[in-house]
Amino acid sequence: MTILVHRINSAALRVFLPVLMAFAFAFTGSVQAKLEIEIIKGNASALPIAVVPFQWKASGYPPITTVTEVIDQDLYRSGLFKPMDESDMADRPVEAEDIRFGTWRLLKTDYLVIGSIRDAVGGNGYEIVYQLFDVHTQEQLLSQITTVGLGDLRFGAHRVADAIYEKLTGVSGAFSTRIAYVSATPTEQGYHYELVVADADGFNPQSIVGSPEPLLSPSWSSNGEQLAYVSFENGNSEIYVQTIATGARQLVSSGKGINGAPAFSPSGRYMALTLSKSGNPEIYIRDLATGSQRQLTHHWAIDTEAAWSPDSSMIYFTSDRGGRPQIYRVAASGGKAERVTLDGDYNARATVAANGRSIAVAQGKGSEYRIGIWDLENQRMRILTPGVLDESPSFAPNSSMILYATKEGDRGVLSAVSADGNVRQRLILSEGDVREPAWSPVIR
Amino acid sequence: MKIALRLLLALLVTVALAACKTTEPVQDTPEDTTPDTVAPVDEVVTAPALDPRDYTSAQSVENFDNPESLLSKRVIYFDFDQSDVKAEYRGIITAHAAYAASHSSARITLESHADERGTREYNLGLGERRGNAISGLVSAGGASGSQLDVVTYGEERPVCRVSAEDCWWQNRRVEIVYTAR
Amino acid sequence: MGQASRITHAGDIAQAFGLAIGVHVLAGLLIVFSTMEWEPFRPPSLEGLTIEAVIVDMEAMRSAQQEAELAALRKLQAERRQRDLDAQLERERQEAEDAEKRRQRELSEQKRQEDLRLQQLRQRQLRNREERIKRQEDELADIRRQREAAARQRRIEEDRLKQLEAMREHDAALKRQADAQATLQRQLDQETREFRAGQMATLGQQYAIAIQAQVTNNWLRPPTARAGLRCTLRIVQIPGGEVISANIAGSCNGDEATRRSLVAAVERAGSLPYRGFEDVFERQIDFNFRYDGDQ
Repeated sequence: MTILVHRINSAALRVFLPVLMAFAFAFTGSVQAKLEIEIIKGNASALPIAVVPFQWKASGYPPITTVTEVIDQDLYRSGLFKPMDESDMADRPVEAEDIRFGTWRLLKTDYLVIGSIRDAVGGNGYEIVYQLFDVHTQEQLLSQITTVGLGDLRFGAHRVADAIYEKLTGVSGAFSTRIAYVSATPTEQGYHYELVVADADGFNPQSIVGSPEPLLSPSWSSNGEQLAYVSFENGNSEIYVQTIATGARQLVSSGKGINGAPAFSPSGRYMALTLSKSGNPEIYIRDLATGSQRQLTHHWAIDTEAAWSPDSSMIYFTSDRGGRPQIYRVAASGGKAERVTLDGDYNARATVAANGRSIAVAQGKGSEYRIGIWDLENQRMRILTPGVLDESPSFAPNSSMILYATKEGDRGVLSAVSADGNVRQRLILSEGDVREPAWSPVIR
Repeated sequence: MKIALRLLLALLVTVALAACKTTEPVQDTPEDTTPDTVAPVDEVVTAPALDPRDYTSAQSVENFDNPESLLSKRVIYFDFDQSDVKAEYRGIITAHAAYAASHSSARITLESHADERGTREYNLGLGERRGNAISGLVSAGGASGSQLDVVTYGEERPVCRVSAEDCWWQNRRVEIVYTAR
Repeated sequence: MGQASRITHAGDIAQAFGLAIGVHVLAGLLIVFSTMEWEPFRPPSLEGLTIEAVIVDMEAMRSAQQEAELAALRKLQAERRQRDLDAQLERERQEAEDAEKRRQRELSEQKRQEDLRLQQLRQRQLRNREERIKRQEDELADIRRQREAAARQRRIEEDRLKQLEAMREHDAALKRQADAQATLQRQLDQETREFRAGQMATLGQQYAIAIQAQVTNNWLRPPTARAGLRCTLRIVQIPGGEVISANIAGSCNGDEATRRSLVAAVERAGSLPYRGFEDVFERQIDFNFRYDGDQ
């Protein structure tokens, strides 16, 4: 045995040993230490996205405002996206195989949307065909066809924007939702008031109610089919509930004193309202099925402007029980109210974000009013608008934007601000004085 | 010799003038020749004029249109975000209270308002608070509760629509409206 | 009756008396006034000589005539004398005037000459001063030049001395060098080996920093990224810096847009830093992304 080994060693080792050594070295070389690098903070920025103008392949003339433009404006208004200017696009691909990702990466965009519009099968509408790509990974994130009826191209464009928004944030879009507002137009006899329902970007307004007396406080039902509002048509404030599609309406509350601030619960079962029949304004909860009411607040102060939490368990409301108006919160089932807003001299008209994390309020300071967001978790107020007579905030159903009323000169107008305050845009609406916006829930 | 003539002449003249004096005609003051016309009457002027401080008699309703009477003052103004009735208006309220107390048929609606600042529904409450403050004072002044009604319009019925204090103060008001006198 | 009538009589008499007086006074006044001239009194004006007409005899008349002629002659003489006097006065006055004018002219001439003299004096003074200053400056310049020349001279001297010194030193140094060559060489070799080893470590750090900077600058953090973000992105790259794979490793609490932004951060620049870092190239890198809100 020993003799054998010895003999093998003396010959083989001289050849094999260096080879073995090399192997050993190679082996240790590939198991290198992994390099770990910390990347902290980066630069806050909206998502750079390029929506290449969709090609019009349908019969007839394309609309004046193209589908692409509507998508761009929706994405921009959300505050989340930074759409590329059409003039900066060096390329206009329509099909996936036409895309040269290197070009788009050089153009500094992260996302790319291409598409076309063609006649719907059957001929009674349009099909919007589109795809969303990640420029860096070159992945196709969306490939869809949205079908809409004739005259509904804007709605179709809003659906596309919704899909893009939802894919990248995980939150449903609010672009194909609707808004309600009150408009006041001067006439010879005084003023003419209208309750109007329009698309979330202010287009396609439709009048729901017209009256020579003031209308205010519109509130959407949870299924988006009804609007509650306050009307002075009979000389005193009264609450009506009207079905939008049919125009049929029902008187819900009238009588001496204030009948105001109606608010449908997200669950659809209740309506909160303000009545001062007891001597001072208090909040009541009305069971919509039975019509029975119970008093929720019991305080000599003004308690009004009720707003429901997303799970319908809490009511946020305005109360000046502490001297000046602040936001308080009470369980919808009843109990002790606790103060919510701890920053500012005057906070009123809360609107609750659908994600339950914050409320938006009208905050007053002296004679100036601005929209602020109160973070419920961190208990911090952030002012979103410059003022000076901003009021009636209303959260978008996806918590990304807030619609509010402001003044331009002496004229009331509506504006939308993104929840992070980065983007603010005035809505183009009908002439006259516009106020009291209310954003509809998501209607699927 | 001419001197003597001069003297004589002077004497004669003086005598003549003295005589003239007595026969001077007396001048009469010019007489008004336009004939007297009877002026048309606008309002019935009762023989004794109504005391503007009369709020309680049967005729006191006339004082509603008499600018010198407190009954003609029917708007009360308030400070920003306040509902206390300022001292300068107490007199007016007392006058209306006295009127309502002595005229059981009187019915008052206190139409209450606020300026545009602040949220609309809260301003409905603020307006009502102002109306209630006046209603309380009028009741204390003798009117019965059934005569009084408070309606609030918040900021919905402004008298002017300019975003400045020049206009805002005019909207912070309660109007005393008689639906029956 | 007598008394009474007498009294009455007295009264009547008095009355009659009074009347009579009055009438006489009145009459007198009338006469006075009617005869009076009312013009103001004016003394009669003298026209020509008043000649008094006197009765005289021929003798007296002749002598009077002679006297008159004499008187006339005297008068003429007086007048002539007077005229001469006036003329003389006039002449004297004129002479005085001329003398005055002359005097004035002389004065002004004097003054002018005086001014001229003063002016010339001042100019001379100025010139003198300027000359003086120029002289001084020239002197200073001379001095400066001299000093500079001296300094230059000194420097040249110094340089020459230094050169000599240097040459001497050089020779000595060469000698020293030669002696210490061997030991120095040994030392140098040792140091070079150590230095190169150290440089490797610093280069590695620089490599990591370069990559960190590029990726951080290219990380466009979406608005939906929330504070407390912790995500690790594992990438593999090939020499040249091209990233061939990028995946989320382990847990990541970011939404879709945030996750994609991490990949974009690495991909956006096209390639990771490579040139100059070949010696420290790392094939696999773990990026630990972190965001804790804006302070």
